[in-house]
Amino acid sequence: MSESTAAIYISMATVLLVWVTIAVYLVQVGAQLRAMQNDLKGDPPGPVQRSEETTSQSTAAPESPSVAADQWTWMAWYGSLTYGCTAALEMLSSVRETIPEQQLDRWQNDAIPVSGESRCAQQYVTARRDAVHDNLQSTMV
Amino acid sequence: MLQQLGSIGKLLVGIWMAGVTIATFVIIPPYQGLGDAGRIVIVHVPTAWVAVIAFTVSAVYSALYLRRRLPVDDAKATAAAEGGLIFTLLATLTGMVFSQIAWGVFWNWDPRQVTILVLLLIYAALFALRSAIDDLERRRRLAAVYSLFAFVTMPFLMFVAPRMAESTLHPNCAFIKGSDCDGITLQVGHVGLLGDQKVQLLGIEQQGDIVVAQVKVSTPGLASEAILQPGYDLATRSYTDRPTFPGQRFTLAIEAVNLERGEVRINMEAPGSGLLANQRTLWVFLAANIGFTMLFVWMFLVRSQVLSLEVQIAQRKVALA
Repeated sequence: MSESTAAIYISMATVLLVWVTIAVYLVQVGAQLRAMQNDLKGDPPGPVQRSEETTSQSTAAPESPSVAADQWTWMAWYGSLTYGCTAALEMLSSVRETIPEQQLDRWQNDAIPVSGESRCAQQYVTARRDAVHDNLQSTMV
Repeated sequence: MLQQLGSIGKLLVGIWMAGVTIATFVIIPPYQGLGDAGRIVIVHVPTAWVAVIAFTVSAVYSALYLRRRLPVDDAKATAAAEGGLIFTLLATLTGMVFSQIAWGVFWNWDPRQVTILVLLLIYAALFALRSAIDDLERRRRLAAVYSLFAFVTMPFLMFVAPRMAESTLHPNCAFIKGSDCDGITLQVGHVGLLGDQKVQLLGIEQQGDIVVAQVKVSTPGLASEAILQPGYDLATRSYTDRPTFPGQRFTLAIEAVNLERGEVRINMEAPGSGLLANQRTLWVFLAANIGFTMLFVWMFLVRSQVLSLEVQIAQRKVALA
């Protein structure tokens, strides 16, 4: 594995670490919130005497959560993240297989010597070539 | 209605952050001197920034609690501090990965690394304090006072102390073009520190308009030692050659020369210089900041609700008993 390929995998792992940490926190706190809301909803209004057994049962095993919207949100988020990472990886690997790194860095205004690659890969190459060009210009300034 | 709006908001945050993730790897260019690893900056800096916002929110609600004595203010102050702690931890971890790639070590006691660690410990102590006091009212009051004191240290630790350091390896002052760190001025024979590198000016040679300095550089413990020869053009007042520090991606450049006094100002240029000068990088960076702030708001709202409900449930249980 080249240094550059290793670097992009390390970057992706780092970004995923951040997402997973935040996602785990949100899922955990969200579940806690739902359990508590159910707990409160389950209680009768007013200071009615309840047995301790009932209270602990209610806390430990809340009724089925009414949080379909939340679940859809999470699924959409995971879906788009998975798609984003997979697409980025596919693009990177196809570009790296086709074009040597040094050539990518040397590109300025030449036509893109790509044939038979996926459309995504071509878009990535175009974006990267422009970006390298921008970078060169900003450095020269 | 409010619940629906909340769901839509969450969905938008998810899509926004997914977009930022894709843009981080596809749209922005590789950074000079760092290549693809520099993309970590797109999550590293916003997490640190959101930590600042979180601790500020925590301080505001702590002050409100001391004024109004409402348990809900304490819940919000705690939720914000908790979010701040998580984001500080993430900033530290992502920074360590960045440090490993850029400087070759996970931790090198750079001023900014030290200050963020101190901040982490200060806010970790807030939660230790909270858990050590059983009496609710006393716990809230003391935590609010502590939180305000902790907040006073935050701007100093995040913004002031790292900039007071004579020099730092941290590329905080190298991100924006034109705002490079000040280098150090050395006379021939003198020794100084650039980041964690010991540098000694051995001599200066002039050939026409070109000045070449001989600089001996060594890391602490003399793990590596080398003699570098950066060049400077007196006519154009710019460097001609910037050699790289041994085993690192940093370069050594001459910024000014005073031949009469036999001294030069040398500086260490960090990879990532002019990072935000690139428009694509700038926009993705801003989008990441907005996204992380929205994520914090989400975390804050949910957590503060949980803490408020905990209070309500506890009160209800007392009433029932």
